[in-house]
Amino acid sequence: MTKSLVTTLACLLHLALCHTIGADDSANLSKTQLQKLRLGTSSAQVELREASDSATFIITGLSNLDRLQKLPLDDLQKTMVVRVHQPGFANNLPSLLGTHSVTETELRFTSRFPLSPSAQYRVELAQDLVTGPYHELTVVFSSLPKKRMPAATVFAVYPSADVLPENLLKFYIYFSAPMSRGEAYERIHLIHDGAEVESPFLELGEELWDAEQKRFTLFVHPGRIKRGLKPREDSGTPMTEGKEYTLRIDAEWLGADRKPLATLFEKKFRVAGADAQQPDSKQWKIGLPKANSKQPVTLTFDEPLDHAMLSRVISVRGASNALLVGSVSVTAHETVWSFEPIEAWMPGTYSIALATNLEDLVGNSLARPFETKELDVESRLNMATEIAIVFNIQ
Amino acid sequence: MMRRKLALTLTLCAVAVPCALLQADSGLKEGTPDIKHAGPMAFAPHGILLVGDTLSAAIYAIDTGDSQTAAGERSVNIEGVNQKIAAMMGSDAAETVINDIVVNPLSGNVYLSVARGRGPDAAPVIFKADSKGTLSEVSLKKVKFSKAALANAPESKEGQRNPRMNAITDMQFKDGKVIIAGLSNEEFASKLRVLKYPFDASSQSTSVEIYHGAHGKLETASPVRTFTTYEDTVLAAYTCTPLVSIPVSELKDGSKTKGKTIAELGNRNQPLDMIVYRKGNQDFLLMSNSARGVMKLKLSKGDIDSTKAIDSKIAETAGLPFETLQDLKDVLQLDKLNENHAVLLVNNAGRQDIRTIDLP
Repeated sequence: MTKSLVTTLACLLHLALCHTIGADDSANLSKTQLQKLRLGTSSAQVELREASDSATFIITGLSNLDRLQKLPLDDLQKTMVVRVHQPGFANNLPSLLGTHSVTETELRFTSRFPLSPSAQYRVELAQDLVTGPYHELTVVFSSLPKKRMPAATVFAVYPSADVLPENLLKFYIYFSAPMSRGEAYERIHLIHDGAEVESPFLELGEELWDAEQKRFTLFVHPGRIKRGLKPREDSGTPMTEGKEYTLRIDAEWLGADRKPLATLFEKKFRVAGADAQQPDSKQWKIGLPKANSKQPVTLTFDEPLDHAMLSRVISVRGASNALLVGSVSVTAHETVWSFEPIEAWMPGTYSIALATNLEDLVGNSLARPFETKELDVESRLNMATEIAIVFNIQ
Repeated sequence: MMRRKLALTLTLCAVAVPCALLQADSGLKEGTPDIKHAGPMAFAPHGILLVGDTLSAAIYAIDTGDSQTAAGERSVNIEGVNQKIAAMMGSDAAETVINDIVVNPLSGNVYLSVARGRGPDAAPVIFKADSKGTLSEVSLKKVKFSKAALANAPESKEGQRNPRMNAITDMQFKDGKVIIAGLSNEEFASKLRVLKYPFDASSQSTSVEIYHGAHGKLETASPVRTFTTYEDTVLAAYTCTPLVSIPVSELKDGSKTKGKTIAELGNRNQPLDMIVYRKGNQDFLLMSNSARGVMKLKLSKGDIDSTKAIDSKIAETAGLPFETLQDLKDVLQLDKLNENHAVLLVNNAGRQDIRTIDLP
């Protein structure tokens, strides 16, 4: 009884797959499968009930349940074991985490986690644990198929322009559906003249996704942008002014549903000179709406700015500094920002508040350039965190 | 009578480590922490496991109850730990990610933060591995825990989730403080965050901007990829590859400080993890890297303080010298097991092993 339960004796099975009850392609419904098996002269059945957060395997038709009820939990756990099934392999992997219970009519195992659509599961059942010797009987289940979703695609990459500065700091890659973590840097390539640029990106174990895993932030390796550092001294900048490059995203990149992208994606661009200038809000042009309209207020920048930050770090305030509610759009290759209020503009004074960490495409922010002469502590501490652009509507 | 009782309690605390008295003010309450992502971890005293959660923008302190001091030499070795954990979760190794490993310094047990799945709804799970090679799940139901939000957590906008996140890249406990390194997925920020532990209801992290000021007299923001503490210094590896030192005393709220470059770790390489240890009378730093193996540096506070900051074009040998250990390959994570041993998570063609080694 204390020995390991398992050698798979599939050939001993008198197993008949009866039928599937309630099989449903929709993702969230509880699903049930049933398999009958013969235990000596009696017959029993194994039922699998899948829920969204767990799965329960239920054995009925056992003759020794009254004895199982008296077993200590440690021994009860040995009467029925569920494992990931790997055909053709002697399986010495641990069994699934979960909880066992026994009643007068059934023996149950409820898994700690839901079943994985890509795995098969094996139920190993000791025929008579109490008296022994016992036979191991095996039935195999697969999780029922989930609803098929369309394959994910790359639908946008920012910066959106086709001419980018040599010291570009980052790309944002937007997907139509949630993606899988852990393979980003294998799937993204920077190509020049048919050859792949070596190690152009910052590769982090903690890949930089948004919470939905639909937007990936790709930093160009800062050690190859910053002047005087060994990566740049040895290998130069990843991109060179005047040359053409392709950012290629492999179709093999898996979505969260483990299906690859619908198609390969490429963004082609030409590289211009390095940008060492901070964005200068004094150079921006403001477009004013008419009073009593819901027309947008717009800012036209002196250079393209960070697409993601533009949607987050600029706000519009009205009387008493109250935050206005509305929608933001970013257009013209990230050089125009506009804010359309939900309620019509009333005549009065408004302000557009800019967080000074707002960056351009190379990491120069309103507060400080990406690279600057060493600052003293006072200069660092005294940087403004917000700039206000005041406007009147009459 | 009171005095006798206190004396007795103190004696018991010294002998048997689980000591309710010492934890009385730790602010832990029973419940189920709402962890969304189990990332970098560290241990605070008394078996309290700190778990960094990028998705919740929070640090959780969880009482593991695992506070018995281990007797004698221990080692933890598990081949195919990712495959075994996957099997226990009813999944496969391709769908199982070990985010971090950390040793409970009291018990010598190894804790693993794991994601079951690679999608946005991947379940966070914490496992424990003991010296017998047994793996078990650390239950997060009805445990004593506390939670501290990180300052500047992403604000929610009505009707949509804010896509900005601060990925937590490393975390250490030092003298009643939790120090957290991270990287924004939008601005090129370079902040270390510091939380006082035990957390209380108003626990807010303080934030220190770290600049890199040692190349050609130019100053840039420099996110920290991984770090450790050594005496009163943070030793940090920047994402742009230099190893720098920052005095712990400069980690004050709102301050903006600079790291001093003490070594250059080389091109086409990312530092992954680091520990400090003492062998004989010498201190060492052991660091795993993505491409350049495991590096070992002799450390002394005097050398760190007196080394001239690397501030010009970099020669391979500038700064503190290091050696690359040829017999340690593909080390993803490491932690100190005890005075003589380290525990490694090693990648072996997709199979990951937990391995105990003598400290080199």
